[in-house]
Amino acid sequence: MPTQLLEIQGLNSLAFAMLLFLLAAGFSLIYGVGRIANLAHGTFYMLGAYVGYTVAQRTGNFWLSLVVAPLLGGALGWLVERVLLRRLRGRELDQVLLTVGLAFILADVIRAIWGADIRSSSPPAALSGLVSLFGVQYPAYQLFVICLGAVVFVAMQLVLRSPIGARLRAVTSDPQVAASLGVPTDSVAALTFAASVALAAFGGAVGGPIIALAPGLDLTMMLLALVVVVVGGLGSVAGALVGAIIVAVVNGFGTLLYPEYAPFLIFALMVVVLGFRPQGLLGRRG
Amino acid sequence: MSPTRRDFIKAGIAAGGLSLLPQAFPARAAAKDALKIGVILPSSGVYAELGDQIGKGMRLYFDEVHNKAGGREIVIINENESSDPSVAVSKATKLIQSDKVDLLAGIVATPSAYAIRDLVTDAQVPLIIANAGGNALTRARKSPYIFRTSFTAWQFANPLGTWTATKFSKQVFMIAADYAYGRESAAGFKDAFTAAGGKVIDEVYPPLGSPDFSSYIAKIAAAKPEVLFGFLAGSDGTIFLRQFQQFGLSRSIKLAVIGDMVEENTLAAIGNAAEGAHSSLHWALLMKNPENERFVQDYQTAFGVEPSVYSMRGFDTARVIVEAVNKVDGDTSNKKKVIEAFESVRFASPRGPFEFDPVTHNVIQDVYLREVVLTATGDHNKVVSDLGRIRDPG
Amino acid sequence: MASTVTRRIIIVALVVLAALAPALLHGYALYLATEVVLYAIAAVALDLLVGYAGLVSLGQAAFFGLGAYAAAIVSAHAGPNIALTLAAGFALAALFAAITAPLTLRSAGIFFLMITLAFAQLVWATADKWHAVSGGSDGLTVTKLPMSDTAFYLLAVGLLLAVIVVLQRLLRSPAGLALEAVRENETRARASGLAAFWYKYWAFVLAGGITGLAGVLHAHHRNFVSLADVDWTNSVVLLVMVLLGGVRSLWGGVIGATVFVLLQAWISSKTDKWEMFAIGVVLIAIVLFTRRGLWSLVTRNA
Repeated sequence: MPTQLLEIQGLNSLAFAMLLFLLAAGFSLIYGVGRIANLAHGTFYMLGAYVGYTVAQRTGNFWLSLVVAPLLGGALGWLVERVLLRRLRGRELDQVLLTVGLAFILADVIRAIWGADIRSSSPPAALSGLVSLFGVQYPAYQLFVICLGAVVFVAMQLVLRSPIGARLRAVTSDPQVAASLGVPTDSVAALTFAASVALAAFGGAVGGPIIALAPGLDLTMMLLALVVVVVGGLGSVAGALVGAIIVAVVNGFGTLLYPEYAPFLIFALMVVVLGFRPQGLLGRRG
Repeated sequence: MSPTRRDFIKAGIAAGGLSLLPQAFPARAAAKDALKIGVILPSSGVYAELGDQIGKGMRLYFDEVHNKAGGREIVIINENESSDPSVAVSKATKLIQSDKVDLLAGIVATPSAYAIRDLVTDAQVPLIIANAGGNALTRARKSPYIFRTSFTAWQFANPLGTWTATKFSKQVFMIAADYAYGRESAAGFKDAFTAAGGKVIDEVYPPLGSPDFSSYIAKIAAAKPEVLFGFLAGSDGTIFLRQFQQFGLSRSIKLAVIGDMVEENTLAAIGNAAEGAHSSLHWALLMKNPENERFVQDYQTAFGVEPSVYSMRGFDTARVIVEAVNKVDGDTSNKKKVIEAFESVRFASPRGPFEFDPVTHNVIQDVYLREVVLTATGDHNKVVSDLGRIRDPG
Repeated sequence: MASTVTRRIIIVALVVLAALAPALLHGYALYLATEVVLYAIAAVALDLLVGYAGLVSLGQAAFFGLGAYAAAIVSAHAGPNIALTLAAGFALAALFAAITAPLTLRSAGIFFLMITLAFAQLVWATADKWHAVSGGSDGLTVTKLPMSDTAFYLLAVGLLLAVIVVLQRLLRSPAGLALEAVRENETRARASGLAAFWYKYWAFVLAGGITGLAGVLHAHHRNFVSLADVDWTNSVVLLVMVLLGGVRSLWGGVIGATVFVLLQAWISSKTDKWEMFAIGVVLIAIVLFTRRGLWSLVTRNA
């Protein structure tokens, strides 16, 4: 393969990887901290994408959409946790079932509000051109996504290692002890879920200019998120990044070199990883 | 004591059982001689947009004729085709057996059409297909009861292939969605293109629903073709065209694609990413004929947006039904006469003269070469030339 | 507990209703009833896995789809023979279960959920790419069975009852009791000498094969097979049916399938835009307002 093609494909995979990371990070967070497998995660992502699209369209300000979408997502997440999930503490399978119901509900609501037309966001004017990089021309917006993904990753690691993160981990490992130590377990749970939904919505708003908004986006993204966290490790944010990179590389280079087998490859990857390391590459058992 | 799951279940079964009763003993429908048309269009999933626009086009025509055909009042029963062909079978079964429709219309996705082909043929209920374009539906799998008002993949691809080789460029890179319709379009194009002296540099077939086309774009960029032939459906087309523009290829590579890929609904989503694209289709928004100008204006007044080719397909489907039912004076019981009535339907459509091929039951129509141009109201398709009156070989 | 007598009455009532159905219902209503029964078969199989083996699988669509494709392919080559297609569907699904189980059963809890999903997606991807055999995204038409709708319905009911009877017998046998012991506390079970793996294995293979039977019936019922039959959302729907109905008894699968299929049909006859919304609301209502937690059955082993 000629070097230019290799470079471009490398950047492509990195951009797609960051898109996947922004998608999967929130899912990993809430599973790692709250043991909740949120099957409505893809739907929240889709909501963020649609909200981002509308805000950018109405106000002409793309950056505003990157603020509004996560705020809305966070508020919705907080509400869902307080009103619904809280009642199912400790009942993990019922929680999963609840998120499935939420996914169904939210998907129809989104369709009712935005209709079935396929929509596409444009990147902000500042990022809609090409940039010369390592001898190739590459779209500015994709480069922005790469940088943004890295920033979010670093920020999340910092938070998780901070005192706030310690509280999160205390609540997960033993809520009763954490409560007796004065950790406000209820608020922590609500805030964590809110943060994970906010992340999903943020991911959707950022991904908007690269993907198309249409009914069914939630299912596509949910499946991708599952593949990423399974490969990288359930419950680990670093795992989400590693998983995202591996999936993007396999998908991208696989498509280029073995196009007939593209859909096969990422699921085969999932099976192989699960076979040898069920907890994923960076995950921890139990 | 809070209700146990068992109580809920008992209530649920009772409700479910009670709800079955009306199905078993359907209530007497509106007027005794109403013309019941079962319309199966997707209202969920990736083709929901198309279903919505086809439905609007149909409504527009039925309203124009005051919802009457052959002296009978038209009653529409809508069902969701979804993206699962076996759901289409289920809905068609319900419409035929429970609602006792006189006719079926709609169907966006080709697999759904294949799925219900035997059902409608055995039940002797005419099916007027508004969209599904798989070749076999009016070739190997044709049925006396199935009429198609839309197109076959071949009808759009073949003339495009000839035109591209003779009038555009002899060097083409091909990209088409990896499913039956995409492959049929590619094959139809390639046959005509190479027969007219063209050379295909390379072909790629992305799977349906790919979330990312950057690797394909990288491959296309590396090959540096003059022209790109394409057929990608729905969101795939939208993502691809956006990325095509983002990577700067829209400036150096010309597009010669199947019209559905750059139709009005897609142009509305991607702005000027497809400006200048040439495509083949049986209609264009800016076509200048009295029928089309009236249609576009009426649609805009009724729905506040410009029609797309899907709206036009719905409009014509409704007209075909009304014309045929008028011909038999509303008597849909004599199946042979009904089929003959459909076969002889002929009128001036917004797309030009409309008629059916009595052998295949597929529409015979003009196919146009169009170009995406910037107008006062945004990017739209205008007709550049007429590629001829095209009849699918069957 | 009075509920045992109530349960017996309900079960007998259901069976009688089911047998009488063809006399009361025809056309579309009978069609729906058949649909309920065939999904009930798949739900009962999943119920076996979730409720008795403690294995929550999100990959049942693979077995369902394999059964359906087997039916289509066998019908095309050897003619529409229900005995043959049922056998082929069971065999193919059970074979897939048998081959993948050694890998799948190494995981537990949510990891098991994920790996079953992964394998199901592999089946999907294969069906998508292998046009020649599966018809790809175009799907396959299934030759119509030389059987009336009533006969087909009664066959499905018979199969459902047979499956339930056989499974109940098995569950009361030493093997079945061993399975429950494994589910309750795998470590203790192993300590007392039970080959835990083999009990989970037979449950998994059996459940896979039975789900394949449901897939065969589905293929003959709709006379069409497509990628949608192996879609992961089917696995979600089956799990929802089982959890709705209650995992404690195999009849939970029947109940869950009945409620779900009828609810979906009823809602979609009223509106084509709020189907999933309504189902979501019902789902959340049932989860929130009924008391029993189900995961406790499973987490003891995870």
